[in-house]
Amino acid sequence: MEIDMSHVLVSLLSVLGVFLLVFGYRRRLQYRLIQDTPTSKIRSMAMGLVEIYGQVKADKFIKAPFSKTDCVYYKYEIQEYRAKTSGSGSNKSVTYEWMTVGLGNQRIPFLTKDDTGTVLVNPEGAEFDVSQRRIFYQKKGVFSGFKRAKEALKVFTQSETNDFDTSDWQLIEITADSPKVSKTQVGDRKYKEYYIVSDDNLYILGTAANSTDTPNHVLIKQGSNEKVFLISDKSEKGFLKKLKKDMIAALVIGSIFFLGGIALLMHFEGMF
Amino acid sequence: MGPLTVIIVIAVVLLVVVVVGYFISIYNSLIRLKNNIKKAWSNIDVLLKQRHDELTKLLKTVQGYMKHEREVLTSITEARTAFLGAQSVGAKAKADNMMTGALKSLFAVAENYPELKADRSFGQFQNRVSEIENQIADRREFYNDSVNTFNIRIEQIPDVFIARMLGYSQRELFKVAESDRADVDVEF
Repeated sequence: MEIDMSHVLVSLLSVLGVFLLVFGYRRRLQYRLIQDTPTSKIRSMAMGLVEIYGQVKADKFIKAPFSKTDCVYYKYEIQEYRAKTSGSGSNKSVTYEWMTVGLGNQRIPFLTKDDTGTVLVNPEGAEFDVSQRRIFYQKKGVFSGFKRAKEALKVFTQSETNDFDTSDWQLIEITADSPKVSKTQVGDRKYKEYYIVSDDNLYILGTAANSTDTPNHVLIKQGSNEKVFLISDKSEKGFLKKLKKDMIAALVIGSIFFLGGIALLMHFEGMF
Repeated sequence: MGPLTVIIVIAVVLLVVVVVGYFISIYNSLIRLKNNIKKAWSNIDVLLKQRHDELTKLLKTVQGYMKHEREVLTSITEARTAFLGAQSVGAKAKADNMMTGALKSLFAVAENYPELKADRSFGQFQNRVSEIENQIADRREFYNDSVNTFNIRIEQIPDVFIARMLGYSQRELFKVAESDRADVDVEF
């Protein structure tokens, strides 16, 4: 039996639409949950699902991979400029785009303080929403291949000392004041860093639980019943705005993909 | 069944799932809000009971020193009795306000008794009661936030339709005493 590629692609589009609808629905549930949960003061929070807003007060740190900033959480994203060929013969076309080739993150427990008290947050299992802080550029040819960078990052994330040398990576930090990077070439890379440092203000929605290891006997972590655990460097309002944006985009695009896919399949079948 | 029928059935089923899912999420959200209020109230109640227990010990300590402060001690006893008899949110809020006022008077009068102030256990009780008072204030704020969210939500469209089906009505806020809301006169 011969498989028509356009049918397969359209079917995949419909399936992607369903995934986006599910994602949008999940975002809507999170949006509602945040709206429904009032903010607690740390000194008087009750056990169970809590929402707090406080400032990070850390005494232990990990280092962000490229900037070496002391932080309690980091996420990195490595993008490579690649050429994408589509079509064949005279219809052949080449498009260029930045593709994500590496992603990773690391986190450690940290203290959060508001005007009433301090609480330990164990971020294991948390979903982070953190703004991009730094971006580094690397011209092609610095590494013989991406494998080396990937291996080096693996060593870094497993290292207890966080001693990781990137001096030979020839990273150029891109800031508002830095000179414009000369013409982008295939193989160039961008190293993006997102992190949380001491004194950052955080919005946290997690589960408060009893702990014998902390001074005030309370710890915020991922609950065993209530799995939701969100940490954002935005205010509650800012975070809700972002969730709403994600939710609307996913639901609209998801509906278009799904219904469009179904309509195209019907068209292929000669139904209209 | 032809392919067109299958596709239409899938589309209709998905649409029904989305609409039903939407109303289920509203229903669940309202149930959560109702339980949030219940939980927030229970969390205040726990502290009110803790304060009641601490007061019993505190009164035993101060009675020896403050024999002539009948009025202050009576007001605390009355507030405790009012609290024990209170059932509704309004009645408990009133008893709580009475107790907060009586405690303020007690700690103010205690300033006139140096021996009492020097008593270690009195200091400990005073700190503990102040700590509980602060926690009650925080949780009262939390409770009122929960009630406010609920009261707004059950009047919003489309939540109002499900709220009416469930028979939900406006909840009472935990109001603070008029004396606590009054402006403070500061003279220099």
